[in-house]
Amino acid sequence: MVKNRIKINQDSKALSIFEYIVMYGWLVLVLFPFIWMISLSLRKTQAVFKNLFFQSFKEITFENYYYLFKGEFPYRKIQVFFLNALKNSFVVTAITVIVILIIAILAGYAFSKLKFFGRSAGFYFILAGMMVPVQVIMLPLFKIVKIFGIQNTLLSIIFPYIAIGLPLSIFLFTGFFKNIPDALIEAARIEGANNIQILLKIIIPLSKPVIGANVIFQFMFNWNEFSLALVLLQKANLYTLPLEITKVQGQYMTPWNIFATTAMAAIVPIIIIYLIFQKQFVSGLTAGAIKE
Amino acid sequence: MKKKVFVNNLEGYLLILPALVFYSLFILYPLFNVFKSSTFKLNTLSQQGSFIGLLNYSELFKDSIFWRALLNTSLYTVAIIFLINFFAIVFAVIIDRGKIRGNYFLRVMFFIPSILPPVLVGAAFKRIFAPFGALNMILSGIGLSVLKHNWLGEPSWALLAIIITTLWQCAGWNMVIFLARLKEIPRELYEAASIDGASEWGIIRKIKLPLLKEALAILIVLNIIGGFKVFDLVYVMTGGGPAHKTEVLTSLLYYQAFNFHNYGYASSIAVVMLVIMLLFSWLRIKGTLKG
Repeated sequence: MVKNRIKINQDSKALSIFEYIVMYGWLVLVLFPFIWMISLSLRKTQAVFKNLFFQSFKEITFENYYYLFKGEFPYRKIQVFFLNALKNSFVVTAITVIVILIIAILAGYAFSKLKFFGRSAGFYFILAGMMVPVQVIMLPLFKIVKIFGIQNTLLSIIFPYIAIGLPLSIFLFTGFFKNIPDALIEAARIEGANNIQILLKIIIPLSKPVIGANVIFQFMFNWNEFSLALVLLQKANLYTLPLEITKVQGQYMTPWNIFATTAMAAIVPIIIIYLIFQKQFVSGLTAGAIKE
Repeated sequence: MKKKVFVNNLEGYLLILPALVFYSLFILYPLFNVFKSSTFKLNTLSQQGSFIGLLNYSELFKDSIFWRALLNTSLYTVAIIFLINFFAIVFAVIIDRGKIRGNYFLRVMFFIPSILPPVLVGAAFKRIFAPFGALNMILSGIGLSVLKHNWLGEPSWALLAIIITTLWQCAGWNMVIFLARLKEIPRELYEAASIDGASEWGIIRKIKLPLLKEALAILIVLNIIGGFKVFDLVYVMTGGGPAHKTEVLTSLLYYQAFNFHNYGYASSIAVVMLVIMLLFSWLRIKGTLKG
């Protein structure tokens, strides 16, 4: 018995040493690119290839961040429209998320609480849109935005983003609304409330978790989206952050410290939002996967 | 009575109308259009080309680069399924056991890569894998200069480098889903097992891992769909090179359309992609209905 317990303890000790090595080893790997990029962004161009990290604090300079917000780096006159791209990303993401929320809440309410002919057929019809990869429809979208005359405006990606985001959001809202008891809605109806009043007074106040999950999910998707933006946004003044980063890193011989500065500045907003709302982030980003 | 049903009908349609409009204009119509374009020879997107039936498809199936792209996409997908889920399960089990310090901090940190734009991650890793990049600097620093490579420039390493980058970015996301599943297991089950003399390792193997099967099945299908859609990383890290060794379906589609202006041909690649995706999505739905 005693022998057995000792063995278990030894097992347990070996296991926990193994656990420390695995977890903190991976942590180092996760952190390394960030730390390296930060160290690049704080160095002058000539110092980038000398060592992995800076050797003394004397090498540290914040001038790259100053140039980034000024919009132009003195080396080879490289221009980075960082603030403009940040603004574009913000405008695109904000409009897209708000419109998706409104449209998806309306449709989710109809699909879960109203009876009409073709309801479930319509639901599955829209749901099927989740299976369509962006790259499959990007060539025709290029044509369609021209037909609508919205090429060279941010609307040319906002409209497709809304359409692409809707199926998942409708799916999540419909599922959530189904669990709200019908009795609540019937009671309100008897008191003379119409559907819009029911939505505003009863459904939406009860739906904070699902709204939060949708906001995070759609925010992340649209903030990071690259392929459609690459095809549809032709003018440099319309570039969103992912496009601007790609432009900076792809320019012939862009010094690495300039890329690193742009990249680090670009992730600050999202990391801050994540650290504040990380519970909601995890539930939002995994909502599509496990709420089957 | 009849009137009431009608009113309800009308309101239902009104409420789903905005969704239907966006959906039809920006998903459904493009889908039909891509099928149509795939039967045309199109060198500009605005003009009408000439109808050539299924010629684009017969060209495509004869094109060795297409098969190379399909092979690369499949290799990439299989590799990320094994790697991401292996690491994610190990991390999730360790965090769930809660025996090491800094559990919560580790979980928060491991998830961070999955919130970043893939193009940004790809561009950063391009510099890690570059000839004078971080990886080679580290290798010379620890006296292993012989292992130095031009990781993204050599055919045998480039795809692996992209796979490693994906692993870095996505392991934490899958981990969180496994972790959510592990949290649902009642703790009494472990206590009962350890009273019956099960070792720690026995509990992991006999109780925890079998319970992750269902989540694993869903994640594998999601990884397949994600793997076949991969574009951002390839575009920024290698552009499909060297010598098409990292060409994937999406990059081939993009370059055919925007570098070579073969829009009809690119559309036929899109249709093939769609068919593959529908197949996997069907598997996913079938799996969900079963589970």
